[in-house]
Amino acid sequence: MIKTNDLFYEYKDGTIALKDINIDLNKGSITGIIGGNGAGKSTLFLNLMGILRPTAGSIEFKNENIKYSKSYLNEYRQKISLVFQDPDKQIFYSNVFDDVAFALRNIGYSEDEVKKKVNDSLKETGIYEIKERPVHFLSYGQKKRVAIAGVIAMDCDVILLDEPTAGLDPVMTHGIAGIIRKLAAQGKKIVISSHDMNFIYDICNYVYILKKGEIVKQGTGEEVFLDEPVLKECGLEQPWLVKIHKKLGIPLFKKEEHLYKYWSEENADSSDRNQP
Amino acid sequence: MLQIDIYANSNRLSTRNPYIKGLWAGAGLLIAIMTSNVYVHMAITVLAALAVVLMAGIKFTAYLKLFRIPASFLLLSIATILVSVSPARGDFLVSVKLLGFYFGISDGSLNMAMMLLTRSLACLSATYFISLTIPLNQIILILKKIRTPRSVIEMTVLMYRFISVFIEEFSDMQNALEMKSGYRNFKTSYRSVSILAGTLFLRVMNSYKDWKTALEVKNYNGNFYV
Repeated sequence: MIKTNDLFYEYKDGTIALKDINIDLNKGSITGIIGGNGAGKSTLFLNLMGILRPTAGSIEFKNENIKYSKSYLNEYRQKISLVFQDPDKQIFYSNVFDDVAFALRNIGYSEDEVKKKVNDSLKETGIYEIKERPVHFLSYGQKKRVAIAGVIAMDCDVILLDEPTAGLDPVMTHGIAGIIRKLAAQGKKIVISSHDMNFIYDICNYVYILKKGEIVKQGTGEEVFLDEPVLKECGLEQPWLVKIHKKLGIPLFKKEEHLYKYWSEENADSSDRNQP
Repeated sequence: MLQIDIYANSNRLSTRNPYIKGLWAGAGLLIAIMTSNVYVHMAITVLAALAVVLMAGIKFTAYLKLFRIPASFLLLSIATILVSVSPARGDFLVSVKLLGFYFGISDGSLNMAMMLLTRSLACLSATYFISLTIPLNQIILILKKIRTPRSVIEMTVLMYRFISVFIEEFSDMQNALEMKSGYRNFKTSYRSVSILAGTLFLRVMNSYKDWKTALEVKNYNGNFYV
């Protein structure tokens, strides 16, 4: 649905942030973009949103290069949206309902539709009960959900999430993962940037590694995370499931549940053997 | 987070009908301004205190503490009204002669001061009733009902949100400075305050950029809907 062709971006001060980036979001329903700090992940997202305009190369949306006119971008940003890392920097209202409704009202939906869409997305993100509370009374994790609800309410085809799990407790992280899976199941394309390798390995079905503005590796989660030298070079590491596969010779599993199942079956076998 | 804001959002009256609360407070304010009767003023003060303490369930000592800052202004201005200067002793009830002039309190100034004191207290109480029992999201409803211009409501909404962001930034930095012994003595305190002000300014400017990007993503078209 979205593709970039030799995307090149140079900041005004001359630093090259992105170099010949070719990504294709059709390769997976949930695409991961990983890379060390300053690798260019956020710049890539801002380019995809049409906030920054590439110095060279182009972004293709539904087989057509995106244009940078105000009317095109207005349409475009109803189809693709971004959840920023810091929820405090994207929540404008202290009333949860009004904030989630903000983009919808900007687009010009009728108040009845707004109400329905907002309530649905609040339920989907599990914050319907706290919609009356002022935003600054919420925890960081709840604010993050408010930010995500704002994007879900727009019913976009593509959702970009910049560090969706940074700073969240394990339960909240699972909650966000659940939301992301639900969205992908509805046929939306999800793009996630994260430093949490286990999270990316668990949830993404296609992964790009970015290093100093260049894509140094891409492939399925298994393919990418088995390449330890490249990961090290980029300041990343292997997810624990890949590590135990490499270090302990256990078969490679995508989910920890599969490992536990395998393990209990193995041990059931060996206890059988020990019986007289 | 502002203490007063916490009260507003977590007392027994918080979720009650905002229009009724607003009507009571508005009536109190109007009556206090329009009448000059000291007893009416006192009645409003006492009623507001009773409503805040008994109905809303806010501690009386906490309520009293809120009056400390306005009280200091109030007492200073009352004192200047109370005391007048005159070349003759005239109708002063009590007076002191100083440098050929009489400084004293007359019957008229006493009544005036008393009336202003009770009126200010009544108005203050009614205002505190508003800020302690009506959360801002409800105040917005009231503002809409009384047909306040939209841009005023927009600004109220945004300012309320940004004040809380600003306070959070401020208190984080304040704690960091405190932790690094930034307020050990007079000299370091001076420097710390300047660092705090400078950094806060830079952060505000940086945040502004991020907010702008976020607005673009949300298809902002110049209107904040309220």
